Amino acid sequence: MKEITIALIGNPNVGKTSFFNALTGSHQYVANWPGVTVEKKTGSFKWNDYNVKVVDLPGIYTLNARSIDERIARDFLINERPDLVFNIVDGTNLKRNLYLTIQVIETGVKTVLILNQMDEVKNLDIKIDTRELSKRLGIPVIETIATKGVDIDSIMKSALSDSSRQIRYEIYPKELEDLFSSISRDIQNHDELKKFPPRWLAISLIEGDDFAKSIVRDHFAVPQEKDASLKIAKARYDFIDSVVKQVEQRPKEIWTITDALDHVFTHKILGIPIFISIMWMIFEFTFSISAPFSDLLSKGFDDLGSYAHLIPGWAGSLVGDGLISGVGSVLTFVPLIFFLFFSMGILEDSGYMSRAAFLIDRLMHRFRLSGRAFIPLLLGFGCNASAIMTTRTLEGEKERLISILINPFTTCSARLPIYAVISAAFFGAFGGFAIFSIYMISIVVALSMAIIFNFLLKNKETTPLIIEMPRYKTPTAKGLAIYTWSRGKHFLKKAGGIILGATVVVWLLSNLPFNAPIQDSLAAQIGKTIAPIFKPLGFDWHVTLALIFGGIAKEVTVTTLGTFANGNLEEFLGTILNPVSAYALMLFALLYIPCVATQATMKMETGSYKWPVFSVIWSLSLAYAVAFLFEKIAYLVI
Amino acid sequence: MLYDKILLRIDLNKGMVCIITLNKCPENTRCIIVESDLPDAFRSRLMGLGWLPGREIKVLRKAPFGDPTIYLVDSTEISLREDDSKFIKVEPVYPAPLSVVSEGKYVVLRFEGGRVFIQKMKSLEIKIGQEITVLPHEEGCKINVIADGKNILIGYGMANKIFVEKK
Ligand SMILES: Nc1nc2c(ncn2[C@@H]2O[C@H](COP(=O)(O)OP(=O)(O)OP(=O)(O)O)[C@@H](O)[C@H]2O)c(=O)[nH]1
Ligand SMILES: [Mg+2]
Repeated sequence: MKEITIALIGNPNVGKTSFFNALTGSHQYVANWPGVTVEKKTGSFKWNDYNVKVVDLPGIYTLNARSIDERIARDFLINERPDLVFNIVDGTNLKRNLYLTIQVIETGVKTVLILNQMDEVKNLDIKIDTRELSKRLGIPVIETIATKGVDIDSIMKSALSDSSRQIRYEIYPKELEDLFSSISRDIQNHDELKKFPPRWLAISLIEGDDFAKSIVRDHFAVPQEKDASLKIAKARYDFIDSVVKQVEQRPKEIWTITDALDHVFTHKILGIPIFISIMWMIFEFTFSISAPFSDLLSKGFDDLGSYAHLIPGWAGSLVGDGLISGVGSVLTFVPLIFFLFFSMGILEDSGYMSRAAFLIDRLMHRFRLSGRAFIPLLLGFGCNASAIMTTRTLEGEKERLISILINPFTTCSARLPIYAVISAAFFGAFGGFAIFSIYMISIVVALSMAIIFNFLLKNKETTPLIIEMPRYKTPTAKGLAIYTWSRGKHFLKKAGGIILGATVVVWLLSNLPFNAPIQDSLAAQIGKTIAPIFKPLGFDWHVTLALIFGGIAKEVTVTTLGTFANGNLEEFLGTILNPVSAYALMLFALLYIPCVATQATMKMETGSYKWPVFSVIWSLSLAYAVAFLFEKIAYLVI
Repeated sequence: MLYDKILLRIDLNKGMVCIITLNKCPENTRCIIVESDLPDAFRSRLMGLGWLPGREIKVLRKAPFGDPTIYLVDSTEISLREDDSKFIKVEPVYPAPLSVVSEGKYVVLRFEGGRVFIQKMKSLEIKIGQEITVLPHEEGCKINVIADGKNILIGYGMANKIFVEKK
């Protein structure tokens, strides 16, 4: 067996992850907006007597990386030196993509150009002479449609076939080449620098790339050439122009479907109303379509519960109260959460995300955030932990930190069961409205926090914003199924793991010492000790305990109450809360502490414990204050 | 090469070609990048996307409230904020909107507007193919033109939608 490592490098949103999935048979996160992959993902497959390790990387436009995700891709290419690079290229956008190709070839790594999205190329009536392209660039070129699967055998064959006919093509004018060779000589004089690709290093130094400069800083000084980066870029584009002119035939500008859709979706007057309606539709769709399924499940769990109670002794109670009434109360919302992810999948894979970011940019600007920062916020409605990861694409350090800190205030899907249970118990026909109001408050709070954090962190930098607008696509059934399943699966795993575990602990606490009535149980004692703190909010010890356990995972708030409820959660809630304190509980659940997984992600992304700790204290105080004020005012009014 | 040519033209007949900043270009304008004063990092990012002096940009769409704007270079659409685009100097390509041209003689080539706008043009008696003379005016103000010997003041917003070519 021979081991080889292949890195996938390419512009954002060209289909690297789709290609990775096709090669390795995995189901990594694919969506139609730039910047989806923000970390290194590894997979492998076997081919003949090769054990091939494939590394999927974040998308980059050039090797002059700035943001964290870009640096991950560049560092892998430069420091880890893969045996082979598959440079994934969007065939409909050859010119822009080839810029990176040239840079990759300059690093001296063996490169294969994967000309992806060939179906789109055909649709747009573009003709590409692949053989000529390969000849011009001196590297193998393979056409693919990553979403329809790839022919591994032929790809590997042409990739490994020794076509190292290193043709030399002249990209740069002589004066630049002279400069490169003189710097290359300097580089050769230092042994520590030998591990870096000399030509890449020389060119990057002249370009004034910070990373390259930091490599040689201790070794020699680089002559600064005025406007060299411009000359280099121009030389590259002149070369690309000459290549593309030879290999590509493109029809004169045509009015595409994307243009037509953009005319409507980014319309000056209609654009924002359409955006709001889409958000409303997602909300409506998710709730109304999932309701019958949830009802069915709920009935099922009720019946199961009553059967379970037929089992005598503690076992019956554990299964009936702990597992079915507890965990079941959350599992009831599986359809809701799956439909939410299904709608988000449509949003993400259609290409609308970038447009939404574009429409809303003006508003975000008010809050000193870039339109790009809107994407993590929107994704936060699914799951905060994974949404926080996507802030890696934000360039400004402070802007990124602010985006991380405000993200938990967008109400994630795990909090939905809490709202759903409470509104069903207290607000009847107005339940939907109550939940919608929480969503609105969530947005308002997140944006207000952006102002406050901007002030506290003295954020003055406004980072430039570039958002690329991808083509619109009809999401495929298969793609949506994979998306919904891979995100929803996480919820099921949680239910079977941490939620189940926490619920069993709660059940134990509420049944110890044995045969004691619940008011004297360990749970009650713990709850009652802490309850005075929450007294002003009108929460009794049941709610207190539920909230504490909910810090592990938000759903546990519901399962804990379910465990106490002995099967009828709605009725039970009616005995411990009134409509005002119930809404206060919804507010509190919305705002108080990020869940453990989110805290861990915060730690990972900011590199210090300081921020998750800050976030916990901050949001706890905020939740307390808001719930308290709400109740004070509500009782005054009523 | 193109870049050098433009610079040359600017040097030779100062005032004839109008150089404006990109944020001033209304929708549907095509223009050629002349230079940019952006911070290095951002400039190199844009260069990787094909934003080089001498290349053509098409202004596609402005967001509600006028900012940001989607631009097309090659076949990539990207959105830029006014805060950034104001550092990029461009030269509009004819046919250019009336609002960005300097004084001189022009021919009206097309209207980029809805029915109401075209009605308005009719009432002002501005027709396609008509010759007009643009008088000196200040940036962002109403534009004073002479058409058929008549003096007409055209609002800035309207001038964005009248595309003219140098006579
Ligand atoms: N029509 C078509 N669509 C494709 C093809 N390959 C990928 N896509 C779609 O292009 C979009 C982007 O795909 P990804 O695989 O997420 O792209 P990526 O390069 O990993 O993107 P980033 O991680 O954001 O850099 C998705 O909507 C895919 O379904 C293809 O060959 N043909
Ligand atoms: Mg990806």
